[in-house]
Amino acid sequence: MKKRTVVLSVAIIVLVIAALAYATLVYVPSETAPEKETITVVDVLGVAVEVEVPVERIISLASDLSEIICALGSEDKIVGRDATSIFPPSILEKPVVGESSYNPNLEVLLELNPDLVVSDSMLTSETRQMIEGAGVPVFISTTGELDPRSTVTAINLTGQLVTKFGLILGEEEKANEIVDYMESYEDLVNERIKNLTPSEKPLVYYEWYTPWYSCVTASVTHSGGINIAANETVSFPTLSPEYVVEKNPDVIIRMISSSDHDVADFQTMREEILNRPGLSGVKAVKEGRVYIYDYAVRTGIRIPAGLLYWAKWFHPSLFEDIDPAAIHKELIQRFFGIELEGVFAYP
Amino acid sequence: MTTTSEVKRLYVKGKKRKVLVILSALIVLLITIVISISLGSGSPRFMEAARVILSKIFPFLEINPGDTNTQNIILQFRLPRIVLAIIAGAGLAVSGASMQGVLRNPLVSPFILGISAAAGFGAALVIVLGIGVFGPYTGYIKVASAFIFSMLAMLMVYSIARLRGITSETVILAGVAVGYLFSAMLSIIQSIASQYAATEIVFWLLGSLTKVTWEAVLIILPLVLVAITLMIRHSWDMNVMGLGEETATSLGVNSRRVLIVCITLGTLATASIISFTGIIGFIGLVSPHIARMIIGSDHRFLLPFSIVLGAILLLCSDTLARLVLMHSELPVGIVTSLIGVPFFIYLLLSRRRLFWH
Amino acid sequence: MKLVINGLSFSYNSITALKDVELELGFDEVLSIVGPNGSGKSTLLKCIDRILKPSQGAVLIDGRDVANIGLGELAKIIGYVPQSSTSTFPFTVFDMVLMGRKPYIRWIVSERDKEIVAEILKFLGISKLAARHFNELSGGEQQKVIVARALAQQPQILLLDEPTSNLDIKHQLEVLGIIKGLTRSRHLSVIMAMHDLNLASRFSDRMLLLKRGCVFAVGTPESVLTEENLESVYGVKSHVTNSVLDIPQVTPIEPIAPGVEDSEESK
Repeated sequence: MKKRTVVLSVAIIVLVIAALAYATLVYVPSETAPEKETITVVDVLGVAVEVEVPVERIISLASDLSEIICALGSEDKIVGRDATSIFPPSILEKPVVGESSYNPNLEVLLELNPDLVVSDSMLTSETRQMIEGAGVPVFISTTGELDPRSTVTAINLTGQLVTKFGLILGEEEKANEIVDYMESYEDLVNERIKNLTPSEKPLVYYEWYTPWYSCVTASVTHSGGINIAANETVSFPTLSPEYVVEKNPDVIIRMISSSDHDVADFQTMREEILNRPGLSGVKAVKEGRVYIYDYAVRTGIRIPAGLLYWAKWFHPSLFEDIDPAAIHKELIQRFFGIELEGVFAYP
Repeated sequence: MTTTSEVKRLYVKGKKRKVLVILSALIVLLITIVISISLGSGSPRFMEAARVILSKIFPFLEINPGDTNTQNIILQFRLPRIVLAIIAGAGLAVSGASMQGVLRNPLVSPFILGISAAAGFGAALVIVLGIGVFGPYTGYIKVASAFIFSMLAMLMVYSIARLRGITSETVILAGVAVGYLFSAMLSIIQSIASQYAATEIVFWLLGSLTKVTWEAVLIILPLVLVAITLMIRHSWDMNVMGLGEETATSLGVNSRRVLIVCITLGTLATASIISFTGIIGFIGLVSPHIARMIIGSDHRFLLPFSIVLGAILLLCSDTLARLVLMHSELPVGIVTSLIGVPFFIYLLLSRRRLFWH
Repeated sequence: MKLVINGLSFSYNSITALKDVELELGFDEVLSIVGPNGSGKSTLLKCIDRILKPSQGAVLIDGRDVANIGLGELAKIIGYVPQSSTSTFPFTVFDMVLMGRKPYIRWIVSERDKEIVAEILKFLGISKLAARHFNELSGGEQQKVIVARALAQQPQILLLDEPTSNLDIKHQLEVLGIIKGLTRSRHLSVIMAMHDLNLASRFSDRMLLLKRGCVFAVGTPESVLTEENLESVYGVKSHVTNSVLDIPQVTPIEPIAPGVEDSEESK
């Protein structure tokens, strides 16, 4: 009996030591390569990330960041992506490193030998530490609703991000071009709405991906509307249906994520809202001002399209000459070199 | 020396008192309904609500119901919610009381067969798979999936329990096992879900009456009513079963049959409710307890009293959930869980007192 | 009602608890089943009332196999008083006894039901306990309540499993006296499993001695309680006399060295 316990204890100790050894060997930081310029960029979490430029091998774990990198003409530098990065279509050839930024497969990721990993904030701090521990810098940012209470415009934030990526990828010129493009449309909208009084601005109920789920975002204001959820304590409140009806919004916008961009998806969603019990007396429903958009037009460098869609929906008379769909097409053609297909907003 | 007629009189007096308690509870429920319909983040209060409802019931009186929005707030939002809170509270409470009775265990909840985890798994499956896939039918399919997996869990529990014979002990153990199984599967789904899906799953699990429609009410109401009626018919059997299986058999009660019937009825009612609302905990556990403390263990009175008590509890919880945050809503499952905490602390303290007696 | 048991056998898994038990119960008689621990006394009672299912043989009431009589109907014929009774949930004494009326109650409790319960409580002298909670009573009081419950079933046959094990001597005599009296006044037949030989001898018309699940002896107390039988079944040397109350009384003297009773065969 005693002998068996001794053998078992020894076996366990040996196994533990072996496991520890394996772990340290795998995660020992690799040797740094000699002779490259190092810059420091501050990411959205305030971390000063040191990157050796120009970067040659990037892994992107967020779809909007992948798009920005491609728009800057550096698609060939992407060596790995997450499963949500599917645009432009040519990126689908790149190896997938994880379903999303939340849980990437670190072995596969490190095997691809990246110089930089970019991700949105879903990447946990533990995972970040593990990647940085292996000698790979991590840059975290997003163009989405990171802080819905921030009054800095989405275009402004994205612009800053594009500029930083321009530095990282050695594509400063292209970056400036993109930023100028985006800001020109932002200026256009601002110009037309800057003199509006509050009574001229529509009350907007902004619904996210499930009924009554809203967001306090100031983006509504940037397109000239008033968000009925703007003053809620929670950033993503589940609004009381009574409150929505009570407020009697003039416009309802609803986000969906349509994989094949089929107009039928948008129509079905719109029908559901128009027929939703209890909303029949609301102004937006009575006047048919219910609009559905695909969340893609509010991410990355496509935000100008989203901005314009919203502006036109809020103030049709002020933006009669603007065709957001055409501008969206032009944007995609200019910065991705491909033909845009499918519906992204309805009606 | 107490005579037989005196003994009988005392007994009848006791029964009458219990009926009075139930009637009083009904009055409390009525008051709660009136308060509930008068409150909300919308502006309609009691007068407006009264006008809307009366104009619907007595159209010939030609009462002015107010504008469309006011009517919608009362008729499409508040009223169906109040009705469902009553039905759901009643259904969960009486299921809990019945199951506690036939399983001879006052700590049993209507989720004892693991159906909360199973329903959660069913809903999560649809949420994760269905983004974009099912379109406008996602809601219906989610409900159906939650219900189907609940029933599946129940069948699994019976199959496992049968291996050693279906008794209260085997059913409880099998229920725990099946619950863990579905919990694990639910966790797997949650871990691979996208950000949106994961959030939606979390909200579903918290339980909410926000998205209640008259459609849902019309489906749930008959199911729960039938289940409640049949469970009440077994009141005497439940009384006798509390005496132990041997005594029950000697008094002519087929324990196994009553156990299976009552558990199935309770599970059906509970599954019907939570497939629509998500998981609302504690009502099924706490209502029978409080009811028993007030009215005793005679199931002929315990079941009806639990029904009224459960309705009151859930209605109050839901009204709170609607009002606590000014314009938004708390999932009602959070409120009911918070009720549970002081209740169980009280139980802990009061049990001690009784023991020292 | 005539109760006949034919070739009854029962096993818990592979352990034989009863083997080939034959029994005929007379009208208005008190029959005690006695025997050492584990001899199958309780098991026999449970087989009679369909609480346990025999592996072989049958229990016949007026020629009908009890297995074919519905549980509800059987509960109107046989009343069962278990050894101990607890209730998960608290009930008053009246409610407890009222449960004995379950075989007769569909939903409403009738006047007659209440009358019967009140009358039985009075008969057993526990009327004043009617509103008390069962779980708060003493052992003796609880036992009387359980007997009352069984009587509320208005049975023709009463089965009692160790009805006096938890009682003091006064209550023992009271309860057994009542039971014996019932057989005369209400035409009840009684089978009781007893471990106290002297009480059994005193209050029974006949006795049945079980040894390891088999019937060792059956008959009047005088014929069953012999020093040879006791030595054979209990492995105890004893002294049996008739001197007190003219009933066989057993005084155990000393246990026999192990090995002796094992080699004895049953008679």
